[in-house]
Amino acid sequence: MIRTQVRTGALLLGLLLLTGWIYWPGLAGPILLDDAANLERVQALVAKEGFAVDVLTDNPSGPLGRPVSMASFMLDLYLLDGGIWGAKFSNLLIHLLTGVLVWLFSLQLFTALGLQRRRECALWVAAMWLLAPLLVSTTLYMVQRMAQLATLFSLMSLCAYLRWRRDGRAEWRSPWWALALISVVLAILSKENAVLALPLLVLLELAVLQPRDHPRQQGGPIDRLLKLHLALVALGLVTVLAYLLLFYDSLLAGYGIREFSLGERLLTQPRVLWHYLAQLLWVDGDALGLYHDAYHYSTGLTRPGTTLWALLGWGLVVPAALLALRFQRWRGVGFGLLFFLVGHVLEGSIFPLELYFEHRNYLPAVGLFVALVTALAAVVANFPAALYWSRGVLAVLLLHALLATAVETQIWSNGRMFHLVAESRFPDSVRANEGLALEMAALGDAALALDYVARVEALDPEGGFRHRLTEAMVYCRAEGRIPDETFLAWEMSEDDFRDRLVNENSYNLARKLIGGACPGTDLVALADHWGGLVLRADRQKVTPKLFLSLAILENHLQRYEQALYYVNRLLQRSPNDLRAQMMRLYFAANLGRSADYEDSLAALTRARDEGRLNAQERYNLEVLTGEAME
Amino acid sequence: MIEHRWLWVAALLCLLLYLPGLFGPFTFDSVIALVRNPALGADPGSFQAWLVALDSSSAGPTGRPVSMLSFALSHGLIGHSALLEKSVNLVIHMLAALVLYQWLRLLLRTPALGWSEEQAGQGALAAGLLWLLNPMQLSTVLYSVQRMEQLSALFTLLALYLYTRHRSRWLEQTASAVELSRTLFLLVLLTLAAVLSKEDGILLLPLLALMEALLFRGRYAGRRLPWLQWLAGIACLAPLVGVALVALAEPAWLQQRSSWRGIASDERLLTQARVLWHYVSLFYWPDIGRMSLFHDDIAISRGWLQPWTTATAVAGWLTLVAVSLATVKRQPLFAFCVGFFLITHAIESSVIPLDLAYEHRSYLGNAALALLPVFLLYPRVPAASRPVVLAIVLLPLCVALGLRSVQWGNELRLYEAQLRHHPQSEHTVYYYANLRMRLADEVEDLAASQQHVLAARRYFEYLLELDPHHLPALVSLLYVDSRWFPAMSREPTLEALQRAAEERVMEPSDGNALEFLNRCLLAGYCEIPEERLLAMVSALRSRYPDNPAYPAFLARYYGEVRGDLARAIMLSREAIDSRPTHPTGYYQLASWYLAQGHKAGAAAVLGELLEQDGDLAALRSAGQVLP
Repeated sequence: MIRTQVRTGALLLGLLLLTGWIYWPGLAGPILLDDAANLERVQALVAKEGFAVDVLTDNPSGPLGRPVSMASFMLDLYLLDGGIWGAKFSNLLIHLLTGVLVWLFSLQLFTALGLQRRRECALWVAAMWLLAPLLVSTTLYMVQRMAQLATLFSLMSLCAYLRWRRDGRAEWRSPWWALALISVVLAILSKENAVLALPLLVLLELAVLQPRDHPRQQGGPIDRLLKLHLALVALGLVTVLAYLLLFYDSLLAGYGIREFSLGERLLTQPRVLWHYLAQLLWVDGDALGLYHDAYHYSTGLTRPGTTLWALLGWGLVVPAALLALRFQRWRGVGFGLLFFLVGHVLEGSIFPLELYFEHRNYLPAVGLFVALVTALAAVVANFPAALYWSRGVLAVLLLHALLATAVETQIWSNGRMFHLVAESRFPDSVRANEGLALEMAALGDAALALDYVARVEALDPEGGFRHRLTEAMVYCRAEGRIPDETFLAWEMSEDDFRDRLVNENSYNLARKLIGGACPGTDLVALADHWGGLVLRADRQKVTPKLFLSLAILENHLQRYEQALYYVNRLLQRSPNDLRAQMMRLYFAANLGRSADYEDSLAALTRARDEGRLNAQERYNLEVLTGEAME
Repeated sequence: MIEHRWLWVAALLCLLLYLPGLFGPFTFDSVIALVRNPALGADPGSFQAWLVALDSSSAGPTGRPVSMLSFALSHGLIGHSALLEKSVNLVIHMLAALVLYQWLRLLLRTPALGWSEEQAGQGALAAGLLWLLNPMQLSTVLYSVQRMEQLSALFTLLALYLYTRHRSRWLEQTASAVELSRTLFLLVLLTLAAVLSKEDGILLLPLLALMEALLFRGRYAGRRLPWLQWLAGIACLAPLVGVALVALAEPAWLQQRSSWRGIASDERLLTQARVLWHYVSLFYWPDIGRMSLFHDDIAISRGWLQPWTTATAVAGWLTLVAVSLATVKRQPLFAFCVGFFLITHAIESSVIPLDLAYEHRSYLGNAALALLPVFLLYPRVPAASRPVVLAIVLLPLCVALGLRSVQWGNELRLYEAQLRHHPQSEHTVYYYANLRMRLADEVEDLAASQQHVLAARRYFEYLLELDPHHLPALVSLLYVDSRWFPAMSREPTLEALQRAAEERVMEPSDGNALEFLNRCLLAGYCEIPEERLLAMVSALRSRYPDNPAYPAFLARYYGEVRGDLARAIMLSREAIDSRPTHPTGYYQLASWYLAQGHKAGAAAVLGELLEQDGDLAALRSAGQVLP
């Protein structure tokens, strides 16, 4: 027994070391998409004494602020190098730790399922998960720490629950159930979609543990637990229905920023799920990456033809999985497949999110690998002669995955290579071409970079002003200045004002400009022209973020009159924006506008008294009012 | 027990005899495959670097990753060391001999042969020793890169042993499903290992079929299954079918490869009949003077009677096959030995247009040659005399092996000996002349250096007498004359180079000569008027418009020698366009852009490469070049 445990431990340790070794080059990789803003914000707040707590309480991503994830980024800064390498190193450690939990969960699950060779099977699941190439883009993409931590705590919850229910027990005095619940809370505070840990716990209880403990004593603890879980299922269904009834309109409104409709998303997701499944089992390296924005969505049951087949496929898989739950040897297969599907139920269903992201598989992949390994274990249980061949199949799958993971981590090790490969793999992706345009610009070749911008325009002819902003960024990077004729040719349509990306990119460009990234640019002329475009537009259509972009630009130019104007427009659209109030306070103080000053001071004082200001905002308020008094 | 003691003695003897040869240098392909392979031993701390090393062999369609793993391990852990590589090869040789002995011990006891346990043990030991200590095997063991051949043979022998062990038991007993499944699984693994060591490992399958058909004869669980024997018999012919399929499916490839060697497919087949007899004679008559690293001096059979030995060689093989078939029931081991030998040569000694002969090709097949005399003589020699007879047979083998090992321990000695016995071998003359040229630089004594230079020059000239269009010899001669005899006119050599460019059937290895010419030009030794160089390359390009080596050569000339980056870029682009799948052109083009300071241009070119070939090697190389 001890020998087996030592051997298993050694194999697991070897597996973790191998995974770390393969991932190591990827730690030197680039900062991507949302990483920069996230890292800068954390760095800026942590750098100032007393403001670190703002990182935890005031994060704009997600309705709950994801404080656990933000705390982990802070720890990076305190304990590691504070840069992108340190953040990626932490991600790798979390990946390895989660791998250990995948192994532990599988081991406990297989024990509950009464599987033979459960230690070996659990190791196979952990190996396939740790080395899955589809998960590289989660581990090496800094900001996906959120998805990682959500998975880590979800698995911790499942492990604690299985420990609580070990040997058919369910004692409420035991601390394990509390740990399971605390883990769910921590998972949700890492990323909100970890709320799926709850249905997964219910699935575990109903599909695996209740059949194991059958027959149960009427009115006994197991029976009560069954009723509790059935009640939770009912509650879940009611919640979903209520959500649909109450928020259907806002749900539909969310699709306003997408090129596909709710129906089209629902038709597309079965294809996406099959694609994930294929990528997890036998990866096509050329389809791996971050930029799936050009994924062809389904516009009808036969457009493309695979839509219907995908739907029919899941239509067969789901009943088959439910049927498999009835047979002890195949129960793990049913559970694993349902785990995979439940894991995708939020991001792969009605919500107006983008269609395809690899990181969405970080938790569901566990279910798929559990299904695969238990399927082979069931075959071996029926035909012992198949043992070596099953191991051979798993070894071939693992070897294929390992090689692809090694290639992926190599690609992720170099920012330029990352973008070159991304563009070659996803030539129709706007983001991939934009990324490469900016890389070429960083290498000083504006002409080549503008070729890629032209490709972006061809791919997305309705992009409008977004492309002009990309073009401006290209000039900034390549030549250190935006030529006058470039920004003087800017025009903005009504659609541009509604475009979320135009607003985000405008803000990013404004920050670059005030940060001195384009020193040769005539900023006054640019601000005048840009402001003119905004002023000519219908004020109701201009978003607060665009006013904010112009306000910070004018502030940089010390044209407080214009800055105050934009910030007042911003406040008309968004009166509760405390940051805007703070800016107005500052501009009004500089201009001696007492009415605006008093107005903002009152609003900010009220917010401070109500505890709505974070540490930095409180500090800023004190400084601003102190300066004004002086 | 007696045999076990003999095994230790044999191992010690083998070690002693091979010892002088272990200190020899890397030779021939080992230099390109191992020493000049930048992937081996590069960055041992990187997992990806190890994978690139496994995939760094251009030999064979599989890339031979198992063999490359062994090279990567030795290079990664110790570094480039010929002594280490040769020592590892020697260990593999001894292991293979041990497995051969164990296999033959089981094989000879099969009911079809009916040897007693004692007879089988002694017979297997004798055959194993003949194989282990035969001097012909030395050119595989001490030729580092032929670890590929050795590993393939080792896995094949392991599979044969495994099959024989289980199959012997299943003659009278039924195999359980688990046992059957496990054995089959292990055989598949060993076949994969053999093939991924060197592709001729696939011949394991017909070898298993041969054993089944002739020695186990379809007997299973006390019953005879005629269909199994028939099936196995048909499977033995798989190599013939495979060769025919290659000939039918890839005639253009065969023709192109044949044109490099200057030999048609039918001529090659006829010649191979003689080559196989040559291998047999080298094994049984171990005259080390006839043995060589190169056998490119073997005359090509241009017809049945040109030379006349062609017809007799073919007739000899046909007779052997006929006798084997006629006596297969009474003497199955004879047929087995003949079949085993022919099957092991089915890939490299048939239509595939490789070089005509190498001793290492017979490494595994020699097992059959070692078994045959044991089978023929053993029953006829009185039991008491057997050790004496074996000692008498082994003594000359050991002497020859020891002498050959001493030869291989020193590069100059090796090539001088080969040159003495194979003066018509172009490879031998070229490598000898090259060695003397290298020694001229290495020795400090001026007089000795001059001796080396003169010898090098003499042998390059001699090589040009054998083949007036020998491009490597012409380039080397140009280098020697430019560097050491500047007063001499280089006009005749330049004219010969032009003629070679216009008439020589170019081989892939001629690329190395062009590479050398470029280095010579860059070092300032070889001064060739630009118009002469352009005329030469134009001739090559007009004859081989799809070959990227020629525009790439010119690109390097303009980029590195003349500093004309714009022209170098244009030519590198032409090289890429002529064969977009060839990665070298992309790196070259990227390097010109970087030299120009055009970083984005370099990145874009590498992007094109990654689009063509996104494998790990390309990614790592691109990562190093990317600005």
